[in-house]
Amino acid sequence: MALLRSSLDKGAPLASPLGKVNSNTNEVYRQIYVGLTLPTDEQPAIIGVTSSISGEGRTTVALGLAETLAVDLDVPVALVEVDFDRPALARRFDITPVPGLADVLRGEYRLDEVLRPVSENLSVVTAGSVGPDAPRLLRQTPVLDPFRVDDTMSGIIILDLPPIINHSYAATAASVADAVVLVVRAGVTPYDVVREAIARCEDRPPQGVVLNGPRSALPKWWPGSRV
Amino acid sequence: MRRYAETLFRYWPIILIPLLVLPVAGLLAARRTPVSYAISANVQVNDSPPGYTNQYTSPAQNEVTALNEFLQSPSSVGSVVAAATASNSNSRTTNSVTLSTSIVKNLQVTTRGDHLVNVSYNSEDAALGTQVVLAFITTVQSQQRIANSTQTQGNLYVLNYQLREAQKQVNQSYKMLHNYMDNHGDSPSDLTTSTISDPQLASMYQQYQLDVSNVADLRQQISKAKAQAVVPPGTAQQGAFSIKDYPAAIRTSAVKTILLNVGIALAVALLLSGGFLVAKTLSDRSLRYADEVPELLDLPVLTVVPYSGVASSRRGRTVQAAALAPRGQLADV
Repeated sequence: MALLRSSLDKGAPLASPLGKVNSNTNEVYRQIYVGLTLPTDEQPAIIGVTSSISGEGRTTVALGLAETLAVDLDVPVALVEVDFDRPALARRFDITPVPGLADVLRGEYRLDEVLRPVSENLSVVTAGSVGPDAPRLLRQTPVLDPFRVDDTMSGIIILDLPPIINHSYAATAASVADAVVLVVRAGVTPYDVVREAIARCEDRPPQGVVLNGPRSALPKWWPGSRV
Repeated sequence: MRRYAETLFRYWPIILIPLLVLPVAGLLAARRTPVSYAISANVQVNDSPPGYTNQYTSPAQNEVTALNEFLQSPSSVGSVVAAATASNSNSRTTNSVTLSTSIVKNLQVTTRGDHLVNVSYNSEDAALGTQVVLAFITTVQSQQRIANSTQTQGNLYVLNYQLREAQKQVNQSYKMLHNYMDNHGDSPSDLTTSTISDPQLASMYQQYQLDVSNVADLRQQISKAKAQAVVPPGTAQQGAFSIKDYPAAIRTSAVKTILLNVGIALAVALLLSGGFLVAKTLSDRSLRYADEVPELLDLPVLTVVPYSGVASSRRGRTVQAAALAPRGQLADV
């Protein structure tokens, strides 16, 4: 976190969420953006990042994607935390957790009022003051649509969505996005669980899969060993 | 195939250890097995033993049947044990019960032709094993002589009875013939010519001759049976059941035992390792390669995030817990 702060002050290249600038890592996230089909007439364009279950790395992918697009694009990029159960962005960027998206959904704030700039071209919206009404807020997200309701937002919004299987309304919340990316942890998540998550997203099916962390034990000379 | 290779290279220590350890253990176990000897003798069989005279099988086969039944009898086996231990000069005390069990289990009799029977026995003591085979053969010989003698006595009794009946029949047919001839005025000197003209006389004379012949035949059988009954033991029976090749002890090759043990151990190891490989591969229902994603999920792969050791191991434990937890429970990102 000290590295992140110092880089902001000095205008140095933004450190990646994993701690160091890595052009190869950024290229990985660029491939996600390039592979998506986004509407050209919608502003802002909303990309949802989700997974089947917890721990597959969707927050890391959402962070990496937001950071890379903030550097590459000329439009503002916002990273919004929709996972109310385990909010992590406030801790990661060392900012106050409230107010956030939950407060916006309750009608207490506008979205642009809870945006926190964390670097040049990148802003963050934390989960906010999450209470027992979190599932209801999640279910109302596509109905209220705080991202387009008052035209205060532009550019690209990246949503860090909750996992589909763990939350009943996660698929409903994902339908607010223009494109959904499904993160799958290689070698861990059973593919029938992933299939079930895809089936639940019938309102907004994922456009593609991000395979996270594949590792092959095969020797290099074995045909098909490349992951 | 790639999946199986993945499992093999991922878990190679677990798969390799049984393949190394079990054959070595088999080899060590084989080398600890005591030395064994195979003792074998051939016995000539000219006639089937008494009570086993199946005309459709050879004398050797009948003898093998008799010998296998002999081995089923505890008293017979006990006789063999007694004879073997009495003649064994080995100072080591031999447990009779153990030896009886060993004889029933290890002593084999097989045919080697129509008139040759092989008696074989495996033992750790070559001398004792040889005595067991010899004792078996001599005990069987002795029992068969007794059986033959008993049968001969029985035959004599029956033959004597038949002879008495036949003699009565001869007397009766003679009286009938003589009475007929007296009634018809035929004289014994004209018997031959009278039978030509008198069919009834001819018939009666023929019956008389048959009865006389029957008596002569019976007398011959009785003489033969009497002759068999008085022959000293060991002479008349030598042709029926006699040793052709005396017992010889051959040390069993240890190589075969070693190869057998190692082979079995290797087969078990292959079964264990192969079973683990198959079970682990079939139970792995995760996605491991990018080319599996379109095939299984019908979605394109946008990108592959490279593996990062420390963070991934921490996340892996969390993901595994989440995958195993009931749906609806929350877990750390």
